[in-house]
Amino acid sequence: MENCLRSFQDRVLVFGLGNPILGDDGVGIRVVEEMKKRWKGEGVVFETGSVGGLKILDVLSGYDVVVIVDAMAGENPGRIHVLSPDDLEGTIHLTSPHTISLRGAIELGKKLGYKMPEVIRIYGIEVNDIRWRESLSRELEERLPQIVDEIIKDMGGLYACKCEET
Amino acid sequence: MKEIRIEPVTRLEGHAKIVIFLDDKGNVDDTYFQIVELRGFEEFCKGRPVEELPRILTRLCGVCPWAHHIASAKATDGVFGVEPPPAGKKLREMGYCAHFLESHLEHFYALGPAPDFIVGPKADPKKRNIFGVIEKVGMDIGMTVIKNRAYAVKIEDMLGGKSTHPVYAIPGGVSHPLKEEDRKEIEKMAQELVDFCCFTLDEVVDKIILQNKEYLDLIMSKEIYYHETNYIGLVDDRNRVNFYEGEFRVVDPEGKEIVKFKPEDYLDHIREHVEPWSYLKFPYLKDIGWKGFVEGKDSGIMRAAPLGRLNAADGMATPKAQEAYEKFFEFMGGKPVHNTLTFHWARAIEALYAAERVLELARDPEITDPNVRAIPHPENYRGEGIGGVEAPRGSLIHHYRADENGIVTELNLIVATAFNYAGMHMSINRAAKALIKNGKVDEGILNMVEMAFRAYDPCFSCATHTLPGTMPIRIEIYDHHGELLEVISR
Repeated sequence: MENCLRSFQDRVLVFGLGNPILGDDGVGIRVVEEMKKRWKGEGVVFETGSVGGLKILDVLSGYDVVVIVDAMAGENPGRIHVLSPDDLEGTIHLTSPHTISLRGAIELGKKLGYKMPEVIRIYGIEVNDIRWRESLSRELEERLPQIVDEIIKDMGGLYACKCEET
Repeated sequence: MKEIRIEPVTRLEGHAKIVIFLDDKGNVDDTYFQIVELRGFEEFCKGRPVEELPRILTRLCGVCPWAHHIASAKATDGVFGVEPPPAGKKLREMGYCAHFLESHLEHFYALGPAPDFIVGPKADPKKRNIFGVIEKVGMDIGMTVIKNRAYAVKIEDMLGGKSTHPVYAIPGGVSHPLKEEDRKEIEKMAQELVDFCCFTLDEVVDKIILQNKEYLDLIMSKEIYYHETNYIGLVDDRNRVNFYEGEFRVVDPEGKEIVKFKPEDYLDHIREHVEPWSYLKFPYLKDIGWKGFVEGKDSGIMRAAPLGRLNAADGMATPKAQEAYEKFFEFMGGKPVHNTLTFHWARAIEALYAAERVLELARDPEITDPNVRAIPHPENYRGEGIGGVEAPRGSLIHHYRADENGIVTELNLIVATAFNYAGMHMSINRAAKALIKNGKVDEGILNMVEMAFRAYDPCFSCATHTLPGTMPIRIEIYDHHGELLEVISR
């Protein structure tokens, strides 16, 4: 239990982001679905979605711990990057033509007094095959179990301890 | 020749870049506004049961899912030859108006006019965002903005099952009726939304923006943000703005009606021009033809979305929005209004209309009628359907064909942003030419160029989500040998 990210009294969200019909862009959703299947206990909410901007604020607020799994553009499909909101510092003031950034949404929530997570860990999985398709590329599909294992392992007690308990 | 490139980088709906070519004297020679889309969505849809499209189409875009959802449902109504019962139509419209509110309010306060005009068009880019807006207007107003946006999302959620990708409208109506306790809650939220939209017009548009001479000069500037074009929008039987149903009306730069047509007849009136340098097509009026990127009544180019709709209509169908509509045209000195930055003002008026319409529908005795769906009958099956609506960003048309088993064989979409593509292209060109002189380019000037297309609230480059966070904007400056001189990242 000493490896746990937080106490199990906390409200924990594991959130898979992506577009499920855009090929490897949906890898975050697939990973979280696999994690949900393997989770035997209570206390962790697994959700998936294709949202951004202020909607992220709606999703994250109210939890103590949030784990986000998402695709990110890269040259090594399946490579996992572990990020925290601090790693996104540089994007806080950027805005797209229609929405605000993830980091911006988190900061806005804090500024407005929302209950925002104390711990946010982001797993970015590199992908480079994005096209209209319901499945992952063969390469990423084959690597999926390993990706799920690696994320579970990195998450430490938050996930693994609960598996052992049940 | 020097090349300046403003390039937002994203990876979902596609991305766009602005390339500005300077001549040897450092003045603007030409500009290109390129949109690179992810193609192949039509192929993805072929071979699927047509009744699945209203659900699938919401995945096309994380910003306009309701628009595609509703247009798609209307197209499938046509395919199955079924007419939704009154409560089914009204509930679709209610959810759709809530989506307009969410979209318009988010753009107004977080992205468009509020950062540019409340914080300032040339302000430090670190402050020119929703945080800077809150710093200026205060935390209480900031909280009110977020609360009212959340109301709109909640209404979408209550009706749509989930707010972002609704699973609600189906061929012949909607999936479930509205419960009385939900109706009461929606009525209460809608009343607050009406008040908030009035506040937006009175306190932000009027007092903060229009009463600031520097901002007003920018808005009224014919040199930077102005085009005399045709306008298109969906209108009801009294030529009032309608987002959900009616006929498309096109007016010329003097406000005179050129044509009014049913969405089903769009192919008789709309054509799309292709340029080799962009994947997105440019819709134009077939009868006038494509005359290049030129304005005026002899050009087939139309502008759509809030300003296009207000110009193409004779009024608004709700009282407070009608009052705001009249004030808008009176202030601007007549109709139509050609000043591009007034898209923002028109957007605020439309938000008020959407709020009033949700309230009106919440008080409609028919809204809780359990009969919300007409079941399609095989003998009425047509195999072809066209759905036309107004999306927050402009007119939107879905056209489907399906075989005798209801399997999609053909699909054509003319998306909202496309209707304004030519307008945006011309607006960037004009702003760049007016603002960039003798090679002098800085962040403030480039932001003012971006303001020319941000007014349209384009959504081609809005990702469903992005990591890490958002799209960076890269500006690359090349000399006439093609050598990179400078890179500015924001």
